[in-house]
Amino acid sequence: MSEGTNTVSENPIHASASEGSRKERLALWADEHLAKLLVIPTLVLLFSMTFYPMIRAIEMSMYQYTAGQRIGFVGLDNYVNLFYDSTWRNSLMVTAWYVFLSVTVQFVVGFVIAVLLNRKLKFRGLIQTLILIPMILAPTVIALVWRLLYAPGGLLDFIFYPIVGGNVGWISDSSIALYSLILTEVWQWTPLVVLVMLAGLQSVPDHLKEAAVMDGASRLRIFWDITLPHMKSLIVLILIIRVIDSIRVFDKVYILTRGGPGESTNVVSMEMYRAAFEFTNWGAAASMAISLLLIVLLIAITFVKIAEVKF
Amino acid sequence: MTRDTPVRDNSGDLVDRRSVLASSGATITALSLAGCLGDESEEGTAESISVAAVEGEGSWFDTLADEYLEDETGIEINVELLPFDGLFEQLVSVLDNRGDEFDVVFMDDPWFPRMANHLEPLEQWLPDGLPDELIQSTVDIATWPTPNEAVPPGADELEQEVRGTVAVGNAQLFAYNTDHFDEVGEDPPETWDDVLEAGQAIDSELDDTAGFVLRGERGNPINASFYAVGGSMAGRMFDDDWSYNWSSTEGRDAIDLFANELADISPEGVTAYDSDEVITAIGSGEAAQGLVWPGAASDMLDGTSEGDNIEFTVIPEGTQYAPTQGNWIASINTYTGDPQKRAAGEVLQEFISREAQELYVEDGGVPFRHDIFEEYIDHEPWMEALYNSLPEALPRPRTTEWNEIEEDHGIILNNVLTDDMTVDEAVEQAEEDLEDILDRAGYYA
Repeated sequence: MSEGTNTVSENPIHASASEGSRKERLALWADEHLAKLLVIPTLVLLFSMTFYPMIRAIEMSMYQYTAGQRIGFVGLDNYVNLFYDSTWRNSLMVTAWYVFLSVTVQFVVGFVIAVLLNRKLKFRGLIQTLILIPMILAPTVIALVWRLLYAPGGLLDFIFYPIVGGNVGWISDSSIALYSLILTEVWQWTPLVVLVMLAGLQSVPDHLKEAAVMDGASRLRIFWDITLPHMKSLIVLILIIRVIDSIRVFDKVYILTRGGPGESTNVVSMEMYRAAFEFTNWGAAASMAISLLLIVLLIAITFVKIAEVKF
Repeated sequence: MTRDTPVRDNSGDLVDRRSVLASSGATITALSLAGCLGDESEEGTAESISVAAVEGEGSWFDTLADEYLEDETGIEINVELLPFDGLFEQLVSVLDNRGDEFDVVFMDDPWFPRMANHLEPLEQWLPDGLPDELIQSTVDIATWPTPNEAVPPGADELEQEVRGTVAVGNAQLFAYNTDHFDEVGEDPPETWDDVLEAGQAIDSELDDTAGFVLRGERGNPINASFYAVGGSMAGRMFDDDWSYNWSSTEGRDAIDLFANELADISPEGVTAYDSDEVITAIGSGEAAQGLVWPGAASDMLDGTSEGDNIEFTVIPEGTQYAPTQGNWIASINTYTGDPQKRAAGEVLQEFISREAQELYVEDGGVPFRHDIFEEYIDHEPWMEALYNSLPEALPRPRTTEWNEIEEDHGIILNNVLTDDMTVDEAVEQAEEDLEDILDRAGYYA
């Protein structure tokens, strides 16, 4: 190598011709492979931040841990144990009910608000801005504020006292606590549904609606046959986002109820948190995480298949 | 310019690229080696140490470090205060990975069995050893394996060694409002029957005053609150063979008293109450009596409407006298360097000295030395009750599985509190769940 370099340096004409052709080849090669090269940093990040932890989690889920120490390989035992674990099964049911109710209410309320805001309203800009505030607050701040609202003798009790004639155990009554959590979730995330649905409503081409009006279609007909099909992708997208996000709910539960009273608000993320960080049973926690991942994937794929949407 | 073309430096001398590279390489290597050797030196005493402590109780140590310990030892003490759950997570993360991020770690005593293998035997690092004035129960609770307690498998063959020093000498106390007791003509409670009787009288005769208040939130809060009742009415939670002991008639009576009878005279919403709510309820007069830790008692006394009417006594008796011990322990991380261990030893030695403890108590700290208790017995309203409790106090079970046991037992008790389970169902469930947890961890092998 050093010999070649010396030869080139001794013959400037050859050197510059050879250097020129090398640069050209390099430029051609780079041009041909530029797309792949640009993807490499993303792939490295994706692998180190997503795939590697996932592979590690799968590996950990196949070991038994006691007091944080790896005891031995147990294969799929941790997964099998989940099936027989009544606490885990209960947390799945609690999470399913939480997700179903909160996402349904968010979607219906959000869609209605979006339809209302899509009309010509006074102060529409101001209303839109105010509606977005809950969404931009930190979840922990929201949970702490709602904890004050739910406190015995707090603002909500003051409002409801004339109706129910006493304090409501918002987060202390096992038959009410989950609905209190859902109320907080709906309050925070309905604005996102409003935002996305409003964007969808505003993107429906006017000429289609005008043509339908000229053909004598009713408002309901226009909404059903033109607006909704046009928004199908966005609706599926927002439902997937909200379902996945709701399944992962942790901060509100941790601050407001810690999964109680009893097991009434014990969602899967609380159960995972306890297994991992309180009991340091990494194997059980990893098997819960992988199971949850599979459930979320299944839900997302089902949504997309049913709606026949291509993103 | 080719690779070996000589160039002139600022002084006008000729230098070539090879010599520049060689000298740079040598400098970097020398600096790296010096850096590595410097870090790995095990001689001397470090100039600073890092301490992980809990918010609240740990702040007394932090204040004392600034006020006294740094001046006396000449060692800079960097205290990081973390919330209760966050501290446990940090300790597990650092110690399980053999990290040296913290030289001294504070831990709640039930965490001690889980951490003990990562903690340095303490006495070798204390220049003057442990003082005789320490209350023996506070030394025992920081000894592994703990004397006179059931021992987990694997620890039974270990030699007993002190692996930490008490930092907060908590034992659970009983607080009651003298005004409320006087109004219904009841004497201060000595037994749980007295507590129930007075509580029911107060609850029915006084407006807007609950007869009792308990920490009902699932997990640690309700279990810690119940432990004193269970201990005094039914003895230890586990026997020496790690069988669940509270499935006895006395155990069922204890759960019934706590989760039914006392809960019935507690404020609404008590199923979600933690320590703060209990302190507020007693301090404001909303509730007449309850269990408290001395570390939090000041919040009940200072600036509250009923502060002057609150008195403290030892945990009422059932079939026996069994106050619950709840110490914070400070230990040296075994994975830190010897200079840090020496510095940590000097700091801890100074911390448990009489001079430091006088300041500690004046700042609000909870003591653990006989001489300090005797000198400051009137300093706080709870001091005498604590001094009567701490020498007799019983620790919670010394098991590595305590967090899971406490959580499970806490959920079951909470279920009784919310009427989702009967006492008998709770006991059967507790026996099955807790023994299953211990079985999985090899306690019955």
